[in-house]
Amino acid sequence: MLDFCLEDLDLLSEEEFERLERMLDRQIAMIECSNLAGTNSILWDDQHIGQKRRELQALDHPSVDKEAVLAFRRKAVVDSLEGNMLVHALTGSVIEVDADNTHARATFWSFGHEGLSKFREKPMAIFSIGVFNDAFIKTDGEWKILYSGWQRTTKNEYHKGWARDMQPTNTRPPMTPEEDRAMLGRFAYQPDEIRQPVPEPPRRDTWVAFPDEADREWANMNIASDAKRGDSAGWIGRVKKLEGTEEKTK
Amino acid sequence: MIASERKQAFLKKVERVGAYRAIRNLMAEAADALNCRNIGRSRACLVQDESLWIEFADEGRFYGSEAVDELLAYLFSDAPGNAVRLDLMLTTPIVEIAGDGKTAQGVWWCPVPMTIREAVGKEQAVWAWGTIAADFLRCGTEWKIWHLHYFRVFKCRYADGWVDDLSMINRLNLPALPHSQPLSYHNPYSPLSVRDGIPAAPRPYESYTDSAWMTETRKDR
Repeated sequence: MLDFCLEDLDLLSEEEFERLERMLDRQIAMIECSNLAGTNSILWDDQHIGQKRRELQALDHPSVDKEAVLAFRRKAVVDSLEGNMLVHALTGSVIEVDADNTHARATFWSFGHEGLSKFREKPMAIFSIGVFNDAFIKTDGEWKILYSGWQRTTKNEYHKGWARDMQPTNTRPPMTPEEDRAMLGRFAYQPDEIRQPVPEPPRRDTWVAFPDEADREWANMNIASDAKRGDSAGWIGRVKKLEGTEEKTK
Repeated sequence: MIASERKQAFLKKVERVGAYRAIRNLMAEAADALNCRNIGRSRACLVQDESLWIEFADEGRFYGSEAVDELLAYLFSDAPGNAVRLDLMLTTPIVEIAGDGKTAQGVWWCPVPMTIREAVGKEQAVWAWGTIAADFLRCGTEWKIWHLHYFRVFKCRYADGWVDDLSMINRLNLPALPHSQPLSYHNPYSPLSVRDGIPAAPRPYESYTDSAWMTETRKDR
Protein backbone atom coordinates (compact mmCIF):
# COMPACT_ATOMS: atom_id res chain seq x y z
CA MET A 1 0.00 0.00 0.00
CA LEU A 2 1.08 3.58 -0.63
CA ASP A 3 2.81 5.24 2.27
CA PHE A 4 1.69 8.83 2.75
CA CYS A 5 2.27 11.54 5.32
CA LEU A 6 0.66 14.95 5.65
CA GLU A 7 3.60 16.69 4.01
CA ASP A 8 3.25 14.52 0.91
CA LEU A 9 -0.36 15.57 0.57
CA ASP A 10 0.57 19.25 0.71
CA LEU A 11 2.38 18.79 -2.59
CA LEU A 12 -0.79 17.72 -4.39
CA SER A 13 -3.20 19.92 -6.28
CA GLU A 14 -6.88 19.75 -5.42
CA GLU A 15 -7.49 17.72 -8.56
CA GLU A 16 -4.68 15.26 -7.82
CA PHE A 17 -5.87 14.84 -4.27
CA GLU A 18 -9.44 14.18 -5.40
CA ARG A 19 -8.21 11.53 -7.80
CA LEU A 20 -6.30 9.81 -5.01
CA GLU A 21 -9.34 9.98 -2.76
CA ARG A 22 -11.46 8.29 -5.39
CA MET A 23 -8.86 5.55 -5.90
CA LEU A 24 -8.71 4.92 -2.19
CA ASP A 25 -12.48 4.90 -1.83
CA ARG A 26 -12.63 2.33 -4.61
CA GLN A 27 -10.27 0.07 -2.65
CA ILE A 28 -12.48 0.43 0.41
CA ALA A 29 -15.59 -0.24 -1.66
CA MET A 30 -14.07 -3.51 -2.89
CA ILE A 31 -13.29 -4.54 0.69
CA GLU A 32 -16.78 -3.68 1.88
CA CYS A 33 -18.48 -5.51 -0.99
CA SER A 34 -16.30 -8.55 -0.37
CA ASN A 35 -17.25 -8.43 3.32
CA LEU A 36 -20.91 -8.13 2.41
CA ALA A 37 -20.75 -11.14 0.09
CA GLY A 38 -19.07 -13.17 2.86
CA THR A 39 -21.70 -12.11 5.38
CA ASN A 40 -24.40 -13.14 2.94
CA SER A 41 -22.78 -16.59 2.69
CA ILE A 42 -22.94 -17.03 6.46
CA LEU A 43 -26.61 -16.14 6.54
CA TRP A 44 -27.31 -18.38 3.55
CA ASP A 45 -25.94 -21.36 5.48
CA ASP A 46 -28.15 -20.35 8.42
CA GLN A 47 -31.62 -20.97 7.02
CA HIS A 48 -33.77 -20.12 10.08
CA ILE A 49 -36.92 -18.58 8.63
CA GLY A 50 -38.44 -15.61 10.41
CA GLN A 51 -35.46 -14.63 12.54
CA LYS A 52 -34.80 -10.92 12.77
CA ARG A 53 -31.81 -10.13 10.59
CA ARG A 54 -29.90 -7.15 9.38
CA GLU A 55 -31.16 -6.51 5.87
CA LEU A 56 -28.36 -7.10 3.38
CA GLN A 57 -30.39 -6.48 0.23
CA ALA A 58 -31.52 -3.16 -1.27
CA LEU A 59 -35.18 -4.15 -1.03
CA ASP A 60 -36.48 -0.66 -1.77
CA HIS A 61 -34.67 -0.33 -5.07
CA PRO A 62 -37.17 0.03 -7.95
CA SER A 63 -35.73 -3.01 -9.73
CA VAL A 64 -36.32 -5.28 -6.72
CA ASP A 65 -39.66 -7.02 -6.31
CA LYS A 66 -39.69 -6.65 -2.55
CA GLU A 67 -42.84 -8.69 -1.94
CA ALA A 68 -41.57 -11.56 -4.07
CA VAL A 69 -38.22 -11.56 -2.25
CA LEU A 70 -39.90 -11.58 1.16
CA ALA A 71 -42.34 -14.31 0.08
CA PHE A 72 -39.43 -16.43 -1.19
CA ARG A 73 -37.66 -16.07 2.15
CA ARG A 74 -40.76 -17.16 4.06
CA LYS A 75 -41.18 -20.38 2.11
CA ALA A 76 -39.72 -23.50 3.71
CA VAL A 77 -38.22 -26.03 1.31
CA VAL A 78 -37.26 -28.60 3.98
CA ASP A 79 -39.31 -29.99 6.88
CA SER A 80 -36.56 -29.47 9.43
CA LEU A 81 -33.18 -27.78 9.47
CA GLU A 82 -31.66 -30.91 11.01
CA GLY A 83 -28.96 -32.26 8.74
CA ASN A 84 -29.17 -29.39 6.29
CA MET A 85 -26.10 -27.36 5.41
CA LEU A 86 -25.30 -24.81 2.71
CA VAL A 87 -21.62 -23.93 3.11
CA HIS A 88 -20.61 -22.09 -0.06
CA ALA A 89 -17.11 -20.68 0.12
CA LEU A 90 -16.21 -17.65 -1.99
CA THR A 91 -13.00 -17.54 -3.99
CA GLY A 92 -11.68 -15.98 -7.19
CA SER A 93 -13.42 -12.65 -6.82
CA VAL A 94 -13.51 -9.98 -9.52
CA ILE A 95 -15.05 -6.74 -8.23
CA GLU A 96 -15.51 -3.62 -10.33
CA VAL A 97 -16.68 -0.39 -8.76
CA ASP A 98 -18.13 2.51 -10.75
CA ALA A 99 -16.56 5.96 -11.00
CA ASP A 100 -18.75 7.37 -8.21
CA ASN A 101 -17.99 4.50 -5.84
CA THR A 102 -21.70 3.85 -5.35
CA HIS A 103 -22.22 0.75 -7.51
CA ALA A 104 -20.23 -2.44 -7.92
CA ARG A 105 -20.45 -5.68 -9.88
CA ALA A 106 -18.70 -8.87 -8.95
CA THR A 107 -18.25 -12.51 -9.69
CA PHE A 108 -17.15 -15.01 -7.05
CA TRP A 109 -16.29 -18.59 -7.80
CA SER A 110 -17.72 -20.82 -5.15
CA PHE A 111 -17.47 -24.43 -4.11
CA GLY A 112 -20.08 -25.69 -1.78
CA HIS A 113 -20.55 -28.52 0.63
CA GLU A 114 -24.15 -29.22 1.39
CA GLY A 115 -26.30 -31.56 3.39
CA LEU A 116 -29.87 -31.93 2.15
CA SER A 117 -32.67 -33.60 4.09
CA LYS A 118 -36.04 -32.63 2.60
CA PHE A 119 -38.42 -34.70 4.71
CA ARG A 120 -36.29 -35.63 7.74
CA GLU A 121 -34.74 -38.49 5.81
CA LYS A 122 -31.01 -39.24 6.08
CA PRO A 123 -29.30 -36.23 4.46
CA MET A 124 -27.65 -36.38 1.08
CA ALA A 125 -24.07 -35.06 0.96
CA ILE A 126 -23.83 -32.71 -2.01
CA PHE A 127 -20.82 -31.15 -3.69
CA SER A 128 -21.77 -28.00 -5.54
CA ILE A 129 -19.64 -25.63 -7.61
CA GLY A 130 -20.68 -22.47 -9.38
CA VAL A 131 -20.22 -18.75 -9.80
CA PHE A 132 -22.08 -15.89 -8.16
CA ASN A 133 -22.72 -12.84 -10.27
CA ASP A 134 -23.67 -10.02 -7.94
CA ALA A 135 -24.34 -6.31 -7.97
CA PHE A 136 -24.00 -3.98 -5.00
CA ILE A 137 -25.31 -0.49 -4.39
CA LYS A 138 -24.36 2.04 -1.73
CA THR A 139 -27.38 3.63 -0.10
CA ASP A 140 -27.35 5.79 3.04
CA GLY A 141 -23.62 5.20 3.36
CA GLU A 142 -23.91 1.41 3.42
CA TRP A 143 -23.37 -1.19 0.71
CA LYS A 144 -26.31 -3.46 -0.04
CA ILE A 145 -26.82 -6.36 -2.42
CA LEU A 146 -28.87 -5.25 -5.41
CA TYR A 147 -29.07 -8.79 -6.72
CA SER A 148 -27.16 -12.03 -6.41
CA GLY A 149 -27.22 -14.53 -9.25
CA TRP A 150 -25.98 -18.11 -9.11
CA GLN A 151 -24.66 -19.96 -12.13
CA ARG A 152 -24.22 -23.60 -11.25
CA THR A 153 -21.45 -25.73 -12.69
CA THR A 154 -22.06 -28.90 -10.68
CA LYS A 155 -24.40 -30.09 -7.94
CA ASN A 156 -23.91 -33.75 -7.34
CA GLU A 157 -24.42 -36.40 -4.73
CA TYR A 158 -21.00 -36.73 -3.17
CA HIS A 159 -20.33 -40.38 -3.97
CA LYS A 160 -21.65 -40.26 -7.53
CA GLY A 161 -19.42 -37.35 -8.49
CA TRP A 162 -19.99 -34.49 -10.91
CA ALA A 163 -19.50 -36.50 -14.08
CA ARG A 164 -22.43 -38.77 -13.31
CA ASP A 165 -24.94 -36.82 -11.29
CA MET A 166 -26.79 -33.51 -11.36
CA GLN A 167 -29.12 -32.67 -8.49
CA PRO A 168 -31.83 -30.09 -9.19
CA THR A 169 -32.32 -27.03 -7.01
CA ASN A 170 -34.49 -28.01 -4.06
CA THR A 171 -37.91 -26.40 -4.39
CA ARG A 172 -41.47 -27.13 -3.30
CA PRO A 173 -43.03 -28.48 -5.44
CA PRO A 174 -39.88 -30.14 -6.82
CA MET A 175 -38.57 -29.20 -10.23
CA THR A 176 -38.18 -31.69 -13.00
CA PRO A 177 -34.67 -32.03 -14.46
CA GLU A 178 -35.92 -30.11 -17.50
CA GLU A 179 -37.25 -27.25 -15.38
CA ASP A 180 -34.03 -27.15 -13.39
CA ARG A 181 -32.07 -27.15 -16.62
CA ALA A 182 -33.99 -24.06 -17.73
CA MET A 183 -33.13 -22.20 -14.51
CA LEU A 184 -30.04 -22.45 -12.29
CA GLY A 185 -28.84 -25.47 -14.23
CA ARG A 186 -29.02 -23.70 -17.54
CA PHE A 187 -25.28 -23.59 -18.13
CA ALA A 188 -24.31 -26.34 -15.72
CA TYR A 189 -21.74 -28.95 -16.62
CA GLN A 190 -22.88 -31.62 -19.06
CA PRO A 191 -20.51 -34.32 -20.29
CA ASP A 192 -21.39 -33.75 -23.95
CA GLU A 193 -21.40 -29.96 -24.04
CA ILE A 194 -18.83 -27.25 -24.43
CA ARG A 195 -18.71 -24.94 -21.47
CA GLN A 196 -20.20 -21.50 -22.00
CA PRO A 197 -18.39 -18.32 -20.90
CA VAL A 198 -21.03 -17.34 -18.38
CA PRO A 199 -21.16 -15.49 -16.12
CA GLU A 200 -18.55 -13.19 -17.57
CA PRO A 201 -16.50 -11.45 -14.85
CA PRO A 202 -17.19 -7.71 -14.88
CA ARG A 203 -14.71 -5.93 -17.10
CA ARG A 204 -12.94 -2.71 -16.20
CA ASP A 205 -15.38 -0.83 -18.43
CA THR A 206 -18.48 -2.64 -17.19
CA TRP A 207 -20.08 0.54 -15.89
CA VAL A 208 -19.47 2.33 -19.21
CA ALA A 209 -20.76 -0.55 -21.31
CA PHE A 210 -23.70 -1.35 -19.01
CA PRO A 211 -24.56 1.88 -17.15
CA ASP A 212 -27.98 0.68 -15.93
CA GLU A 213 -27.45 -0.77 -12.46
CA ALA A 214 -30.35 -3.19 -12.92
CA ASP A 215 -29.05 -4.51 -16.24
CA ARG A 216 -27.76 -8.03 -15.68
CA GLU A 217 -26.58 -8.65 -19.22
CA TRP A 218 -22.97 -7.76 -18.37
CA ALA A 219 -22.59 -11.30 -17.10
CA ASN A 220 -24.03 -12.77 -20.29
CA MET A 221 -22.15 -10.82 -22.92
CA ASN A 222 -20.89 -13.76 -24.88
CA ILE A 223 -24.05 -15.81 -24.89
CA ALA A 224 -25.96 -12.68 -25.91
CA SER A 225 -23.71 -12.53 -28.98
CA ASP A 226 -24.72 -16.07 -29.79
CA ALA A 227 -28.35 -15.06 -29.62
CA LYS A 228 -27.81 -12.15 -31.97
CA ARG A 229 -26.09 -14.50 -34.37
CA GLY A 230 -29.35 -16.42 -34.57
CA ASP A 231 -27.69 -19.67 -33.64
CA SER A 232 -30.51 -21.44 -31.83
CA ALA A 233 -28.20 -24.15 -30.57
CA GLY A 234 -25.68 -21.58 -29.40
CA TRP A 235 -28.14 -19.37 -27.56
CA ILE A 236 -28.51 -21.74 -24.65
CA GLY A 237 -25.07 -23.18 -24.97
CA ARG A 238 -26.10 -26.52 -26.41
CA VAL A 239 -23.14 -26.76 -28.73
CA LYS A 240 -21.98 -30.32 -29.13
CA LYS A 241 -18.29 -30.93 -28.91
CA LEU A 242 -16.86 -31.14 -32.40
CA GLU A 243 -15.00 -34.31 -31.68
CA GLY A 244 -18.15 -35.96 -30.33
CA THR A 245 -20.12 -35.00 -33.42
CA GLU A 246 -17.37 -36.29 -35.65
CA GLU A 247 -17.31 -39.56 -33.77
CA LYS A 248 -21.04 -40.04 -34.29
CA THR A 249 -20.78 -39.13 -37.99
CA LYS A 250 -18.20 -41.79 -38.53
CA MET B 1 -5.82 24.45 -0.10
CA ILE B 2 -6.94 21.02 1.08
CA ALA B 3 -8.48 21.11 4.55
CA SER B 4 -6.53 19.43 7.30
CA GLU B 5 -9.53 17.29 8.37
CA ARG B 6 -9.84 15.97 4.84
CA LYS B 7 -6.18 15.03 4.73
CA GLN B 8 -6.42 13.33 8.11
CA ALA B 9 -9.44 11.35 6.91
CA PHE B 10 -7.51 10.36 3.81
CA LEU B 11 -4.55 9.11 5.84
CA LYS B 12 -6.87 7.12 8.07
CA LYS B 13 -8.32 5.40 5.01
CA VAL B 14 -4.80 4.67 3.73
CA GLU B 15 -4.04 3.05 7.07
CA ARG B 16 -7.26 1.03 6.91
CA VAL B 17 -6.57 -0.35 3.44
CA GLY B 18 -2.96 -1.11 4.40
CA ALA B 19 -4.13 -2.93 7.53
CA TYR B 20 -6.59 -4.98 5.48
CA ARG B 21 -3.87 -6.11 3.09
CA ALA B 22 -1.45 -6.82 5.95
CA ILE B 23 -4.01 -8.98 7.75
CA ARG B 24 -4.91 -10.93 4.61
CA ASN B 25 -1.18 -11.59 4.10
CA LEU B 26 -0.65 -12.49 7.75
CA MET B 27 -3.40 -15.09 7.67
CA ALA B 28 -2.06 -16.54 4.42
CA GLU B 29 1.39 -16.71 6.03
CA ALA B 30 -0.07 -18.45 9.08
CA ALA B 31 -1.93 -20.95 6.88
CA ASP B 32 1.22 -21.66 4.90
CA ALA B 33 3.24 -22.18 8.08
CA LEU B 34 0.59 -24.58 9.37
CA ASN B 35 0.51 -26.50 6.10
CA CYS B 36 4.32 -26.74 6.10
CA ARG B 37 4.24 -27.86 9.74
CA ASN B 38 6.59 -25.05 10.68
CA ILE B 39 6.02 -24.34 14.34
CA GLY B 40 8.44 -21.38 14.45
CA ARG B 41 6.76 -19.53 11.59
CA SER B 42 3.34 -20.31 13.02
CA ARG B 43 4.33 -18.92 16.41
CA ALA B 44 5.75 -15.78 14.79
CA CYS B 45 2.28 -14.95 13.45
CA LEU B 46 0.86 -14.83 16.97
CA VAL B 47 0.92 -12.15 19.66
CA GLN B 48 3.85 -12.80 21.97
CA ASP B 49 2.24 -12.14 25.34
CA GLU B 50 -0.17 -13.70 27.81
CA SER B 51 -3.25 -12.07 26.28
CA LEU B 52 -3.00 -14.59 23.43
CA TRP B 53 -5.54 -17.41 23.20
CA ILE B 54 -6.57 -20.07 20.72
CA GLU B 55 -9.71 -22.18 20.80
CA PHE B 56 -9.39 -25.20 18.54
CA ALA B 57 -12.44 -27.26 17.57
CA ASP B 58 -13.29 -29.40 20.63
CA GLU B 59 -9.68 -29.70 21.83
CA GLY B 60 -10.33 -26.76 24.15
CA ARG B 61 -9.39 -23.15 24.61
CA PHE B 62 -5.75 -22.41 25.36
CA TYR B 63 -4.87 -19.22 27.24
CA GLY B 64 -1.41 -17.68 27.19
CA SER B 65 1.92 -18.56 25.59
CA GLU B 66 2.61 -21.80 27.44
CA ALA B 67 -0.81 -23.26 26.68
CA VAL B 68 -0.70 -22.18 23.03
CA ASP B 69 2.78 -23.69 22.65
CA GLU B 70 1.39 -26.93 24.06
CA LEU B 71 -1.46 -26.86 21.53
CA LEU B 72 0.87 -26.17 18.61
CA ALA B 73 3.24 -28.95 19.67
CA TYR B 74 0.24 -31.29 19.80
CA LEU B 75 -1.11 -30.20 16.39
CA PHE B 76 2.31 -30.59 14.75
CA SER B 77 3.09 -33.92 16.38
CA ASP B 78 2.85 -37.35 14.79
CA ALA B 79 0.39 -38.57 17.40
CA PRO B 80 -1.98 -41.25 16.04
CA GLY B 81 -4.95 -39.61 14.35
CA ASN B 82 -3.13 -36.35 13.72
CA ALA B 83 -2.67 -34.85 10.28
CA VAL B 84 0.62 -35.77 8.66
CA ARG B 85 -0.28 -33.55 5.70
CA LEU B 86 -2.85 -30.83 5.44
CA ASP B 87 -3.66 -27.99 3.08
CA LEU B 88 -5.72 -25.40 4.87
CA MET B 89 -7.02 -22.85 2.37
CA LEU B 90 -8.49 -19.48 3.19
CA THR B 91 -11.69 -18.40 1.46
CA THR B 92 -14.62 -16.03 2.03
CA PRO B 93 -12.67 -13.31 3.86
CA ILE B 94 -14.63 -10.86 6.02
CA VAL B 95 -12.23 -8.40 7.67
CA GLU B 96 -13.07 -5.30 9.70
CA ILE B 97 -10.43 -2.86 10.92
CA ALA B 98 -11.30 -1.00 14.13
CA GLY B 99 -11.95 2.71 13.77
CA ASP B 100 -9.01 3.40 16.08
CA GLY B 101 -6.73 1.28 13.85
CA LYS B 102 -5.37 -0.75 16.78
CA THR B 103 -7.23 -4.03 16.29
CA ALA B 104 -9.11 -5.93 13.63
CA GLN B 105 -11.54 -8.83 13.38
CA GLY B 106 -11.81 -11.41 10.64
CA VAL B 107 -13.56 -14.58 9.49
CA TRP B 108 -12.45 -17.13 6.87
CA TRP B 109 -14.06 -20.35 5.66
CA CYS B 110 -11.44 -23.04 5.27
CA PRO B 111 -11.54 -26.28 3.32
CA VAL B 112 -8.80 -28.57 4.64
CA PRO B 113 -7.94 -31.72 2.69
CA MET B 114 -5.57 -33.73 4.85
CA THR B 115 -3.97 -37.10 5.44
CA ILE B 116 -4.07 -38.60 8.88
CA ARG B 117 -1.96 -41.50 10.09
CA GLU B 118 -3.93 -43.96 12.16
CA ALA B 119 -0.81 -46.11 12.45
CA VAL B 120 2.44 -46.42 10.54
CA GLY B 121 1.54 -47.49 7.01
CA LYS B 122 -2.14 -46.85 7.61
CA GLU B 123 -2.85 -43.41 6.20
CA GLN B 124 -6.31 -42.09 5.60
CA ALA B 125 -7.47 -39.33 3.23
CA VAL B 126 -9.59 -36.94 5.27
CA TRP B 127 -11.79 -34.09 4.13
CA ALA B 128 -12.14 -31.42 6.79
CA TRP B 129 -13.80 -28.05 6.79
CA GLY B 130 -13.55 -25.37 9.40
CA THR B 131 -14.16 -21.69 9.97
CA ILE B 132 -11.68 -19.31 11.53
CA ALA B 133 -12.68 -16.24 13.52
CA ALA B 134 -9.83 -14.11 14.80
CA ASP B 135 -8.96 -10.88 16.56
CA PHE B 136 -5.82 -9.12 15.38
CA LEU B 137 -3.61 -6.71 17.29
CA ARG B 138 -1.35 -4.08 15.80
CA CYS B 139 2.07 -4.52 17.40
CA GLY B 140 4.17 -1.53 16.31
CA THR B 141 4.27 -1.64 12.52
CA GLU B 142 3.12 -5.27 12.33
CA TRP B 143 -0.16 -7.09 12.79
CA LYS B 144 -0.38 -10.31 14.81
CA ILE B 145 -3.07 -12.89 15.49
CA TRP B 146 -4.34 -12.17 18.97
CA HIS B 147 -7.27 -14.51 19.56
CA LEU B 148 -8.15 -17.32 17.17
CA HIS B 149 -11.08 -19.70 17.20
CA TYR B 150 -11.13 -22.62 14.76
CA PHE B 151 -14.70 -23.90 14.46
CA ARG B 152 -14.96 -27.40 13.05
CA VAL B 153 -17.67 -27.74 10.40
CA PHE B 154 -16.91 -31.37 9.60
CA LYS B 155 -14.05 -33.83 9.50
CA CYS B 156 -14.61 -37.11 7.70
CA ARG B 157 -12.93 -39.84 5.71
CA TYR B 158 -12.75 -38.63 2.13
CA ALA B 159 -14.12 -41.95 0.91
CA ASP B 160 -17.23 -41.69 3.06
CA GLY B 161 -18.15 -38.00 3.13
CA TRP B 162 -19.58 -35.76 5.82
CA VAL B 163 -22.95 -37.47 6.12
CA ASP B 164 -21.71 -41.05 6.47
CA ASP B 165 -18.60 -40.58 8.58
CA LEU B 166 -19.15 -38.79 11.88
CA SER B 167 -16.33 -40.55 13.72
CA MET B 168 -14.06 -37.49 13.88
CA ILE B 169 -16.41 -34.59 14.57
CA ASN B 170 -16.26 -34.98 18.35
CA ARG B 171 -13.24 -36.07 20.36
CA LEU B 172 -13.12 -38.37 23.38
CA ASN B 173 -14.80 -37.10 26.51
CA LEU B 174 -11.46 -36.31 28.10
CA PRO B 175 -9.37 -33.12 28.10
CA ALA B 176 -7.21 -33.11 24.98
CA LEU B 177 -4.23 -31.57 26.79
CA PRO B 178 -3.31 -30.46 30.30
CA HIS B 179 -3.92 -26.80 29.39
CA SER B 180 -7.31 -27.41 27.73
CA GLN B 181 -9.95 -25.05 29.08
CA PRO B 182 -13.71 -25.26 28.45
CA LEU B 183 -14.95 -24.46 24.97
CA SER B 184 -17.15 -21.51 24.06
CA TYR B 185 -18.80 -23.22 21.07
CA HIS B 186 -18.67 -26.52 19.18
CA ASN B 187 -21.46 -27.49 16.77
CA PRO B 188 -20.06 -29.48 13.85
CA TYR B 189 -22.28 -30.65 11.02
CA SER B 190 -24.06 -33.95 11.51
CA PRO B 191 -27.36 -35.38 10.24
CA LEU B 192 -28.96 -34.17 13.49
CA SER B 193 -27.27 -30.79 13.88
CA VAL B 194 -28.77 -27.42 12.95
CA ARG B 195 -26.57 -24.73 11.41
CA ASP B 196 -26.48 -21.45 13.27
CA GLY B 197 -24.46 -18.91 11.32
CA ILE B 198 -21.56 -19.05 13.78
CA PRO B 199 -18.98 -17.63 13.72
CA ALA B 200 -20.81 -14.45 12.99
CA ALA B 201 -19.47 -11.90 10.55
CA PRO B 202 -17.56 -9.07 12.22
CA ARG B 203 -19.24 -5.67 12.02
CA PRO B 204 -17.64 -2.23 11.77
CA TYR B 205 -16.50 -1.14 15.24
CA GLU B 206 -14.56 1.68 16.83
CA SER B 207 -12.35 -0.07 19.38
CA TYR B 208 -11.88 -3.54 20.85
CA THR B 209 -14.05 -4.56 23.76
CA ASP B 210 -14.13 -8.37 23.73
CA SER B 211 -14.33 -11.40 21.44
CA ALA B 212 -18.01 -12.14 21.96
CA TRP B 213 -18.73 -11.18 18.34
CA MET B 214 -17.39 -14.58 17.23
CA THR B 215 -20.29 -16.47 18.80
CA GLU B 216 -22.90 -13.73 18.53
CA THR B 217 -26.29 -15.30 17.80
CA ARG B 218 -28.12 -12.04 17.08
CA LYS B 219 -28.28 -11.58 13.34
CA ASP B 220 -29.86 -8.13 13.30
CA ARG B 221 -26.76 -6.28 14.48
